[in-house]
Amino acid sequence: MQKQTAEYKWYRLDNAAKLYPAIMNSKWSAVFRVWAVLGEEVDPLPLQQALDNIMPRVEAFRLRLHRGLFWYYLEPNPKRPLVQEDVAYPCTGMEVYGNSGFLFRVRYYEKRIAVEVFHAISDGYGAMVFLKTLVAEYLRLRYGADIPAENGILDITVTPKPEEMEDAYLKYSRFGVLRSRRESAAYQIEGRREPADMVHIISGYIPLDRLLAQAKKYGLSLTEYMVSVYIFVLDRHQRAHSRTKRYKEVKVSVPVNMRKFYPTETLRNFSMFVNPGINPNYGDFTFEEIASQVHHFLRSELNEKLLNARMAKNVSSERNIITRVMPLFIKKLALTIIFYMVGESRFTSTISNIGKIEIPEQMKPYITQFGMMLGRQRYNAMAAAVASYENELCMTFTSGIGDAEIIKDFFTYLIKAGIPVKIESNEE
Amino acid sequence: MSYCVHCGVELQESETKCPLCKTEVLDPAASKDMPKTRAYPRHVTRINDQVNRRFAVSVASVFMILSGIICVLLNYIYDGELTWSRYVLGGIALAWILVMSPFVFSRHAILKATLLDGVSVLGYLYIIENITPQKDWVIPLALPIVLASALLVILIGFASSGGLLKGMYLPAAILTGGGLLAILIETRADYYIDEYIQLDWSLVVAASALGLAVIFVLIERKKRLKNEIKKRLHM
Repeated sequence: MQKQTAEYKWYRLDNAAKLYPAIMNSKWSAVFRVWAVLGEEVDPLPLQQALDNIMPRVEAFRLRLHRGLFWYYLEPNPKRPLVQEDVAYPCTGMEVYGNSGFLFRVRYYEKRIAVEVFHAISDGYGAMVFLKTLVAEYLRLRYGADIPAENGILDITVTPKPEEMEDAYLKYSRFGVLRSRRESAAYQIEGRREPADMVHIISGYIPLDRLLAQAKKYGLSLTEYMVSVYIFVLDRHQRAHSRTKRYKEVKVSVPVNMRKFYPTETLRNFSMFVNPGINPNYGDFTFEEIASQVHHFLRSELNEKLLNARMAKNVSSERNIITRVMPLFIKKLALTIIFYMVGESRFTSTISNIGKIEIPEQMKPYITQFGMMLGRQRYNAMAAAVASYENELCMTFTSGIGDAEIIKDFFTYLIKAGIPVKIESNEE
Repeated sequence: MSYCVHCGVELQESETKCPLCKTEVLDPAASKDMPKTRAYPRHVTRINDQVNRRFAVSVASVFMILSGIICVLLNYIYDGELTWSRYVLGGIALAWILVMSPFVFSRHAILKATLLDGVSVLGYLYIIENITPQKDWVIPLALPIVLASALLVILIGFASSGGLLKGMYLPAAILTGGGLLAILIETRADYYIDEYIQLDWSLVVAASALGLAVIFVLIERKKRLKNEIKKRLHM
């Protein structure tokens, strides 16, 4: 951790965060969203008060971005963030130097409170802690509810812990042997891209117990099952639309929360990615074969040592002296080119599963739903995010193309397996 | 609740068409009077149509490649062979290697990238030597300078990554090394030209560099000033 006094406070970006400001542009930045749906319509006045109350506690979000000569860095932001009304196309147009410099937005609409976060400051876990803390404070102010600071809700009466700001990548990487990041290119979904400020959002609400039972039939975890269905659907889509018989690998990126391996309290980024998939050129994979591939891949790859070796590889790149002395504008150009060549082209799409959201019992009477969505991807046509609360799983697809055939095939696959799905979208 | 007759999915009340297959929702039992709350508001925020900086960078990269191609074509059309365009092509290739080399190597990146850069620079100078009338200057003049520069980069790189040059000591070391390099350059140049060494401009450069190096060392020892500079220049 950086040793510094209050007046000198500033932070380097963590290893994952260094990428996002470098590859953002005026029309796109890596933003994702988490939300909670309450039982009643949201009142913006106590919501604003709740936000004011929690801001001193959430140091990881009370930041603004600055350009240095060699790297971006973060400084405390003394301004006051304001809650905003929600919009038709969330997660678009995040101005990192507008919005009073804050790298997140709190939006409300009807019964929903949503938090949109620029990936430079946090990941899904950190954003969910922020959301739960905000909603808990809102419920205290609006209803006088007595919500304890547990299950990922921060105690806003204490000062922020320095551990919540640590760069866990740097702290836990072991640099003995590094693991290569090389991967083959993956199939990219084609389709006419919508304008940058537009995004198609389709959410599917699925009974969790039915989905878990279906996954268990194949001996899979929930994530393994969702990834297998997605790969199955994408494989069929490529076969139906490919102009040649030479197929590309179909891979789905799965973020892994590294906090399960290390005792960190960081609210900043701390995730790695694994890319399970199949090579359709080997033959026509059945669903069972895909499920087996995904199951064994994830069982094998989700190992602390393997993940640490890849994590160390990422960190060693930023510690390279030549990388460090390169001026920021050259780094931006190089990272943009590298990300274009080997970033999202290594996988077809993403499924990010934040898991089952736990909240204190005292909060449950007020909350009906939690959800998560990824913003538009830089190059991939679509991505999905999953969050579960009580017996409901919410899977939200975000797409930069108008064609929803893949999403339809995904959900109808579940329907044919006997799992009911309820659909909601931002379409007109 | 309505269902899509095509997909079989249940649809939120606010959906008038199935979002998955665009089939219109026809539910005779649904109340037409009840206002249906949309999942998302209709309000749209537009992104300002500013110049996309990445687009500008991409255009610049394309111009570089196009410049190379055009130079080659013009050179060939008007001279029947590649003469001056070799300078352009070599320069573009050298620039590309200098930018990308740090990202190619994982282990011992400082050593390998610097050696690659040094070899690339020497290669480019060798091309120039072959094109220009003046011969026999790469080995006696350019080679020791490039080797000394590469050695300086490697030494400072290893010292820095080994923790010996922290904070402002690093730019101080770079400036000191640069000053010594200037003296070496003038020494070799003087010797190459008339085998008589008389140092003048390099002493000015070395003195200025050394002066700045001393300032950096003093800043390193002054915490508050150092911190302000550090956050803007942190590496």
